[in-house]
Parts: sequence; structure tokens; C-alpha cells
Amino acid sequence: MLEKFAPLFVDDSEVITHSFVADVALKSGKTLALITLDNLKDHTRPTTLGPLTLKELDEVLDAQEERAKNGEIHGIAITGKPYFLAAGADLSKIGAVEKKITGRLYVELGHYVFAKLGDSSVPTFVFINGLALGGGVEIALNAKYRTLNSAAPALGLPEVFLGIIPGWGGSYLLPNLIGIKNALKVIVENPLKQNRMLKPKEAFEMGIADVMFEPQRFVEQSIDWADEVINGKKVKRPFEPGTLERKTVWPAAVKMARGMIKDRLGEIPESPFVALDLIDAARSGTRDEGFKREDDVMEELVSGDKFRASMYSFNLVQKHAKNPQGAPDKSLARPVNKVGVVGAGLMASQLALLFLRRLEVPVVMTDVSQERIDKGLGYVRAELDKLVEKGRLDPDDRNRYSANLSGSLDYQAFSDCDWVIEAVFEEMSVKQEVFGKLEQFVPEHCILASNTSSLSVSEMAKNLKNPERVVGFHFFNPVAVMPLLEVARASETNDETMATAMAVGKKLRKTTVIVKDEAAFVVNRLFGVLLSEQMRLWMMALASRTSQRQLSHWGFQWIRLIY
Amino acid sequence: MISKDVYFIDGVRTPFGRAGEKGVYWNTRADDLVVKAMIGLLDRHPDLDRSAIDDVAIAATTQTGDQGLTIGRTSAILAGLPESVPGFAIDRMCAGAMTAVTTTGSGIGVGMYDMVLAGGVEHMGRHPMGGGADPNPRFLSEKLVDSDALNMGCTAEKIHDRFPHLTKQRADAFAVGSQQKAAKAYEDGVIQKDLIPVSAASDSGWQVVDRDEPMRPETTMEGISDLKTPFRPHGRVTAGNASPLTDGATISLLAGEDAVKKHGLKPKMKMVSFAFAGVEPEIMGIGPIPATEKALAKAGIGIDDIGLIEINEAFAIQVLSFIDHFGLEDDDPRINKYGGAIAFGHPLASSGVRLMNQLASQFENHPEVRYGMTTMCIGLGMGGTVIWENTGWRG
Repeated sequence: MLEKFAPLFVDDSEVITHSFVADVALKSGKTLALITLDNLKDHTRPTTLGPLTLKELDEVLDAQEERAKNGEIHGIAITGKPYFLAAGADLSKIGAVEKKITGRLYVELGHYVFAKLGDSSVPTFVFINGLALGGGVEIALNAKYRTLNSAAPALGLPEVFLGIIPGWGGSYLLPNLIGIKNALKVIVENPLKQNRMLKPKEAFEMGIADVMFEPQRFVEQSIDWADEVINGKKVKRPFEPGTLERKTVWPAAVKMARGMIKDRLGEIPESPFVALDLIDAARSGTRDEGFKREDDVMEELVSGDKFRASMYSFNLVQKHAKNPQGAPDKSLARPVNKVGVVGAGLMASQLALLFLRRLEVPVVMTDVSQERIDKGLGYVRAELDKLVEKGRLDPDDRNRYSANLSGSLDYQAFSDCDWVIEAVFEEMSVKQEVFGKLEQFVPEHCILASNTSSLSVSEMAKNLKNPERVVGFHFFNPVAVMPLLEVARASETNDETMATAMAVGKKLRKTTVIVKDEAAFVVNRLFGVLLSEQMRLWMMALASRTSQRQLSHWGFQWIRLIY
Repeated sequence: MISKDVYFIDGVRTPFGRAGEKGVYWNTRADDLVVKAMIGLLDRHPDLDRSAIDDVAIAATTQTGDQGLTIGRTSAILAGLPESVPGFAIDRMCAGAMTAVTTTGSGIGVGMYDMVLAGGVEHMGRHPMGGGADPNPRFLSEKLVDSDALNMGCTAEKIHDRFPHLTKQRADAFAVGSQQKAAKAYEDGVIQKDLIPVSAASDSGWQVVDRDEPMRPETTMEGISDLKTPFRPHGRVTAGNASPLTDGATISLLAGEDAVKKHGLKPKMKMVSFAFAGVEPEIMGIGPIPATEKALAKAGIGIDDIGLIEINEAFAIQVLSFIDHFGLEDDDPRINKYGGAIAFGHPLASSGVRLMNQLASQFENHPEVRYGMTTMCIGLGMGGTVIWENTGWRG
């Protein structure tokens, strides 16, 4: 190991992923060295690739190379502990990179170690047995051959989503393996679609792996396949780009992607454009030149504010969302076995649909006229049918949800509800009236939720006998798609109500955050600031087109939609 | 009454592992062992229509945890068989897989099945013998059985008591022979061809298991003469002349005559007859004797017509009692030609199909032999025997 990497190995807090070696006797009589990446933690702790992990892998690879040269082994394969290949670089380490130089070293170390898979004197394989993200995918790309478990939960290169780029060879190796269009999808497009991952079938069809096996005997079948390759089997790479693709399609595709991203996101986010530069450059030159380019750009990116901000928001959304701050003890949550929805308009109908599908309990809707109720019910049933048509809902479940749905003009229908949510007109007096009337019918334990986007929940509750059961429960449109849910705690709201609201939010599979009962809560308040900023620019007599350009430069394209 | 010929088409197994924390399968589930064997077997018949399998019978002695939940059905689903293929669980302790074969074979015989999978599993590391059992107190209070009846080692000691001429020396010699025959069979590659290698997770990465872990080819008479006799002081049964505690799974494909034609199968053996019989639970090891008498009578042949015998070596002494009864020699070349459970191990409910695999393999190499049999002793005083005809017989 090169002396220069020494500064990376001083941190002893890393959860090391070990590289265990076992010799496998192949059917051909030859021997395969099988390396298992395993952090010796249970299945809830994915393996990661920190500096000490890479150091151990490097030593193991050197030892195997030595054995290969002595003719003791005829191939080297790497796979992961059950369910994981590797979830990439140790982000806790990379997020902590303060010094440019250490960040660069970590990137260089990955290149230094992984390159040994490409440079080995014998065939090298990665058996992608489970989750492979970022560096996990790149370790596979550096090997000469790849097998893939059809039940691996996901593959992906999320770097661009996090404000960096695939920096352990991915930006060079991937387009050269699977062609420019597929590579753009994996490296740039998917990360920008809410960090979309690949399913194994998709990854295989793109050519990321040479062969795919079912999970039950994945390792065994991968070994047999490796045996065939070691003994001369030719492996076809249908998407490997040829001269023509490199000269014509490649630059055109990169240019087009650049234009699209600029339109959608503006020019402030750096990583997609850096990634595009790298991908563009990958069409010629050597692997090591490609690795060097990755080193150079990563040095800047990992020490930049944008990456740090990305890591902050990633941690916020991924980690803290699982344990929302300020949430009372989960055990206080009450069961919700029947739901009422007041209102049968578009928002209310979307809420009814979501509760039906996620809580799988009876949902009763009401409104001011039978006609409006029928319209709401009709909407929900039509949406269920559409889901069945698209193959996203089992017909049996459609029947179940449809049977669970009812409408009533009479509030008596709410008498056995555990949860009622209102989505009526945004007018304080109307909301107060609805809650006041509901209170006469619903059982004492029933939670009263409001989908208001801006009114005071405390104000809505103040005249009630039991204001402690009222909570703000603010969805975003379209309800089925938008991941966020704001839960507003009003002045009298008690812990049982909050716990129940958080539990319901979780069952609805929303990212549930607790917000103060202040005007417009958080999201719409921020939105308001943006809006008024644009107004201000306009008022300052700047041409409206200039203000639009200004905003779109920052990526706030969508704000134009409201004019 | 419909009557169809029943064929043993093919059988495989996982390599066997030593039970317990140090064994290769400590971190591998029992149902996964079955699934791997099942897929390995089906992979040998890639063109076989999976949906034409009428049932999946998997035996396990302790049917809880990863051996519970109707393991014939769970393993069929886990192996990716079509949902239309049903499955069930079977238990006759050591003869579980054998009973899976005879039961589904009977179904084929009366024309109700065309093709079935039958096998067994026992992860004795995860499921120690008798684990979770709750024997009725009447067994002891009414002296229905002796307290020794539930301890297999004690039942083996009792065979020595009953037949004093079957000495420890003879048992040890038989055991050493078993290890040597097994080692020779490995050298000749006749065992490995029916093994499905298993990748097993361990605390030091994946290990590929492609050999039987319990084997001790270095065993000598001297080496085992002084081993402890754990079942009674100054006893005769030792770890050297008994089968070790083992993890492993076996599976076979059976078919009726119509299915053989329809699917173009190449049968290895034809089922001739089978029988199970009961003996005193305290001396269960002699069970193969009456079971064999019964099966021979049903087949209308005698012991002299049997050219190859696969008898399960739960204990060497129990094999000796069989040999003695039928007037054979301890080193009769017809008996366990490729070695037995003393060397390979005896994962209770899975062993029956291992016997069949080895018999089928010998049939292939001995076209002059027409009939063979698989036989084994069973806890609580039983024995089971299946007589087979060599489909490659050239008489």
C-alpha cells in the first residue's frame, strides 16, 4: 500500500467491512478465490467501503494476485454478505471530509484498490448478490465480469443526487460498458428523479451484468459460470459502444442531456454537469486517465458547500425521517379502524383513496349534497379501477377497498369512526362549524384532523368540548405522489393525538414532520417567501422575464407555472 | 384397481455437514437446504415441465421453526415451482424421506400422481434430537416403553446385550470399513456426482460446501478402540461406531410409467415392494429385519435375490444384527459398497433418499444386478425397507 494513503487510516471509528477469502474447487478442477465482503453486523447494517475496509481489501487482492501468479488460483471473485454487496463509500466519512486533500486521497484509494480487479492476471468477477449502491456498483464495474442476483433489492449510482459524481471508476467504466444512453440514465437521469434505483432485471437488460441468476443458488451458479469463463467461455457485451457510437451518438446524447438538465434545474447544481463532462470525456482515452479526471473533480466536489448541504438534507430525510423529532411515545397511538372524510371534492377524494389503500379500513365520505358525495365516490372507484388496469392493484384488493368505501349525508355515519379528517373550504368559520357538528356524533376517542394548508388549527379547536383531539394534517397535491406530510400540533393537542397522527402518517407511507401551528406551516411559508421575492423583483421594475431567468437559473422553474 | 409402475428417476442431496455451531451449515436454514437440493435436482432436468409435478413431499423429524410450516409446500414456493404445485410434510423420524418416497410412490402406483418430488431434511444443529418433544407420561408410568427407548444410543447398546456375539470389535471393524469405503467412493467420484454444492454463509464469508463434512477417512481400529461410551459406563457404542449428528437435505424425482413416456424420462430404478414394521422400541435397531422380511415376501423373492443392499448405519451394531439375521458376512461386498451413515452422517429424515441415490449409482455400475434394497431402522422401534429393480439390468 502506498505511503501517501496513511493519513486516511488514522480514524478508528470505521465499521470495517472485512474481506474473507475462501478457496472454491471448480468443476473444471481449477480454483477460484472467493472474497466475501462482510462487516459482521446483522442484516440491518449494510456493508460500506471506508478507508480501512479498502486497505484490507487491497491486502487481500495483493495476496490473491501473488497466488494467481504462482498458479494456485485461476480466478478471483468478490461477493457480499447475505442481502448486500456494498452500499458504497462510507458517507459518514466522506461527509466529514474537511480537507480537500483527504477527500481526494479517499477517492484515489478506491481507484488504487479497485484497479487491481481490472489489472489482475486472472479473470476477476463480482457476484452482485444484493444491494449495490455507489461504490458497491463501482467495485463490480472494475471487475472483468459480473453476475447479478435477480432478487437484489436495488442497484444504483446515487452520487449525482448527493452532489458528487461516481468517483471510483463509474463515470468512465459504465458508459464504456453499457453505452452512452444507458449510462446517462444510470449516472444522471435516475439520480435526478428522486434518486431512482434500478431493479436487477433492468440493470441486467442494460448490460451492467453479464448474466443474472435466481437467488436460491445464486452464489453456486455464479461460481459455475465463472468456471466456464475461466475455461474460455466468450462473454458477449451487446451494449459496449463501437467507434460509430463514440463519434456520433455519444457527444450528441451528452449535449442533449445537458440541455435538458439546464432547462429543468438551472445551472446552479454542479454535479450533474460535472458528471456529464466526465461521461463525455470517457468516450476516448485510457481508464487511468478517466480515473484521474474523477480524482480531480471529486477533490473539489467533496469539499464544496453543495455536497455538504446535500449530505445534510440526505441525513435529514433518510435518517431523521425515521425518528421524527418531537414525536411522542409511539405506544400512545390509538388504533384507527374506521376513517371519516368530510368533503367529497378533489382533495377529499384523494385523501379517501389514500386512507383506503394504506390503512385498509372502512372510509366514509360526506358532503353537502348527495350529488357531490356520489361524484367523490365515483372518482375514488374510478381511480381504483385505473390502478387495476395498470396492474398496480390486485383486483381482489380493489373489491375490498371499494366495499370499504361509502358515502353518507348523515353525520351519524361517523359515530364509530376513530379518525375524521376534514378537507372542506378554507374558511375558519366553515371548519369550526364542521368540527362542532362532528363532535356531536363521533366517539370520545376519535381524532379530528384538518387538512388546512394555512389556517390556525388552535383556532379551529378552541370552541370544542375536546380540543385536545384536534390536529393539523396537511398533505400536498397530488396526494398519492407527494411524499411530505405536515402534522401541526395545536395549542391543546395532547400526546395521544400526536402519536396517533404520526402513526397514521407512517402507515400512509408519508415523510411525516411535526410543525408548529403557525400560519401556512413550513412549506407554504417558504413558498410564500419565494413568491414575494419574485414579486419584489418585479416591483423593482425589473423586467419580468429577467426575474424569471434569475429564478430558473436557480432551478425554480416550477414557479412560472403559477402565473 | 389401477396399478402403475413406479420409477425412481433421479435423486440428489446437499453435502452433509456436521451439526452444531462449528458445522458448515450453522448459519444456513433447513428449508434453504431443501430448496437448494430441489433446484439442483430440477436443473439436471431442464426440459421437465415443472407444472406437471403433482406433489412435493418433504420429511423432517422436528417440524418447527425452519423445518415447520408444512415444509413440502414452503420449499416448493421458495424453490420457485409454479404455485399450482402443492406440497406436504411427512414424519417418520429417520425414515422420513423413505416414507416420502413410499407414500408418493403409492400415489403413483394407484395412478393418482404422475410425477412427484420426495425428500427430507434434518438440521440437527438447529433441531437437536427430541427437541421440543413432550412424550406422554403413560409411556413410562405404564411401562409401555423402557426409559432407554427414547435414547437411540441406549437402544443400540441393547442390541449388543441381546446378541453377545456381535461384539464391539466387530462393530468397530464395520465402522472403519464404512469410512474406508466412503473414502474410496469419493476417490472414484461416485458420491460427488449426486451432490448439489451449497454456498453457506459463515462468520468468515461464504463457504462452498461440496463434500460431506463428517467423513473421517483416517479412522483406524486403534484410533476408535478407546473412545468414550457415552450411553453407559463400559458400553460398546461410541462416536466411532455410530453415525454423527448431521445437517443435510435430500430429494428425489419419482414418476409413473405414463409420465416416463410422456416426458421422456430415464428411470434409474423401479420400485418393487416396500414395507414398514414395528419392533420393541427399546431395541429399535433391529427394525430393518422384519421390514425386510415383509418387503421380500411382498416381492416374492428371497434375500439371495438381492444383489446390492443400502442399509442405514445409524449404528454399526444395528447393521450387524441385520447381517447376522440374514446369515451374511460382516464385509459382504453387497452391503453399503460406497460406505454409509457412519462416514457420511445421518441427518435423520433425509437419509432415506441418500440410500436410494447410492443404490441407483451402484445399479448403474452393476448391470448384472437385478434387485437391490434400501433399508433403515427408525426410532420408537420400527424399520422400513424398499426393494428396487435395476432398470439397467441386463440379465
